[in-house]
Amino acid sequence: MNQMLSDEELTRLLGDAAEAFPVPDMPVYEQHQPVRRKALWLTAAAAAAVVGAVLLSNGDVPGLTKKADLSTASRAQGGLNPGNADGSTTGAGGGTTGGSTGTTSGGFPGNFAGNGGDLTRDKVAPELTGSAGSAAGVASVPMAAPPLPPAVASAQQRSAYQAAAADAAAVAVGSGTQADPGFADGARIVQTGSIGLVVEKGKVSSVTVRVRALADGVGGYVSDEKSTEIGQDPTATVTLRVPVKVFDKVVTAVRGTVGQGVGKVESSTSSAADVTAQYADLQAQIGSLTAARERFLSILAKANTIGETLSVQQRVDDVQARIDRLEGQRRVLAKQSDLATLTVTVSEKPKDIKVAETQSGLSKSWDRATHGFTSGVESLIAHSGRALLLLIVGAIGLVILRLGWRLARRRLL
Amino acid sequence: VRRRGMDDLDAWLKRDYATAYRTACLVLRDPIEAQDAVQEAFLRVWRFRGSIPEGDARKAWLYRVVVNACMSRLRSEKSRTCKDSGDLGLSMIADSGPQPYDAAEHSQLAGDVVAALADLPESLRVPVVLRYYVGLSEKEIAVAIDRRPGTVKSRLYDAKQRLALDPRLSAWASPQEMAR
Repeated sequence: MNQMLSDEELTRLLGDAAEAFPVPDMPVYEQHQPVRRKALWLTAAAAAAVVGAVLLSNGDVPGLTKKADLSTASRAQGGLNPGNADGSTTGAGGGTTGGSTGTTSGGFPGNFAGNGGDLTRDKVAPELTGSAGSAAGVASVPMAAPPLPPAVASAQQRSAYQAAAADAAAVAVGSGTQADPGFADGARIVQTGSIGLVVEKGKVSSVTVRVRALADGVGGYVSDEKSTEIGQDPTATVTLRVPVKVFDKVVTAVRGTVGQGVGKVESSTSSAADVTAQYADLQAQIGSLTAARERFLSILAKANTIGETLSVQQRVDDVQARIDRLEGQRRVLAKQSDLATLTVTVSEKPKDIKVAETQSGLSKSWDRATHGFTSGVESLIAHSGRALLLLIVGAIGLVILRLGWRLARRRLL
Repeated sequence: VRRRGMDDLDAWLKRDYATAYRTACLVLRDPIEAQDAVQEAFLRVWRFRGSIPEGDARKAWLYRVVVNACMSRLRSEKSRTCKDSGDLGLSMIADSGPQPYDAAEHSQLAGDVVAALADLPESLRVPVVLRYYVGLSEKEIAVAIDRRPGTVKSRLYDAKQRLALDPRLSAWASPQEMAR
């Protein structure tokens, strides 16, 4: 080591070097210019949200929104014309009551009353049996069937699909609220249900296609589908999301797909939960927090020091995070209450199991005798191998003994 | 009382801003990164103002936050890219702000010192800067870098040995120092 820098020298060198870095102004006011711009944006967004909320709370605007949704859904479905709806909104969703849960085996809360007589078992049945043409009641409705999905390939499936689409159109017309997820009275119902269908052999595919078409026809969609068409027990499980207001009608139509020798309904469950209060509470909380955020933003605009700015900004961030969280919950609830969930399971009827006929005493004895004989023969054959081996070993032993005895006798003699 | 506490904190941060910024410059070698690091560190200080210790430990605590912010930047991809792209920081020394009459010499000194520091590993560079620029004691450095005082002492000794062998620093050492 030739030399060692002293502490003083190092202090001087580092001090001089550090002096070469000009110190910028401490970012107090300038630093928060973006925050102010952000505050302006947030203010504008909040104002827009408040205006939107006020408009949404008005009764007229949702109607316009629903019409827009309806027309969009109709275009997507390829021709369901909302103008053909009879405008009747009474009676729709009559079977959905807040908090009710039930299981039905025969009937179902929904019925065809008030549907103008378009959808009855008698009129749906010819379609279900695969006959050509549409049911008279359905054919009278001037609606086009939705376009066929790519999965519907065969002629049988195609006809089934078109028939079911007509069923769905009738459901929509009957309810008068085709593809209309909203509620005039602002009620929010989360509706779920399941139906188990047992069909004749080879009918799983066609019934599944019809079930899917029902969802398409009322402005819903198939959210999940699992099917096993190969093997002894072909089954299909289709989960439909349909507008809550036509849920009962869709359930009835699904039950109708297995009439007239096609199959039967094995099980049916439904449940409904009224979440109107929860939804209103969320909306109120969001409104309150939005107002609080506005107040904080106005305070933020007047902040001068870094302390004030950071403190208020922290409050704004907290409130915004809570608003975002509640808004997410509100969206989930709105989605759940707009579209009901119906799970349809389609399976083949199990094959009949032949029961053995009871035998008389004599034939039973004869059977036992023949069985005993064959068993004995089988047993003999089965053990013959071992006996043969013992015989061979014994014979060889005897020969050896005999030869040995002769040899011994000669020597003795 | 709370308002007064905030004003005190504000004043304290303003007072130490220049030193903290230049410390970050010496560690990071990039004024822009240093500015960001110090800003981030001061925001952390403000956010965790409830845990600021009283008395002499306050300064060590502040530089612990500053050093942590610098180390985070060093670890980031951005910092590595910046270093690989050349001595951006050194070029900015000469370009920024009004220069004194001996600006060229000053910049050269800074460039050499910063380059010599850059050759040290971070584990040695940080204690050297905290000791000989900020003026922290070995105990305070131990708090700032979360190591034992003995470790700090050995690192400082190691760093001084390496710097003494660096010809760029020898050129700037005073004649008395050279004679010694």
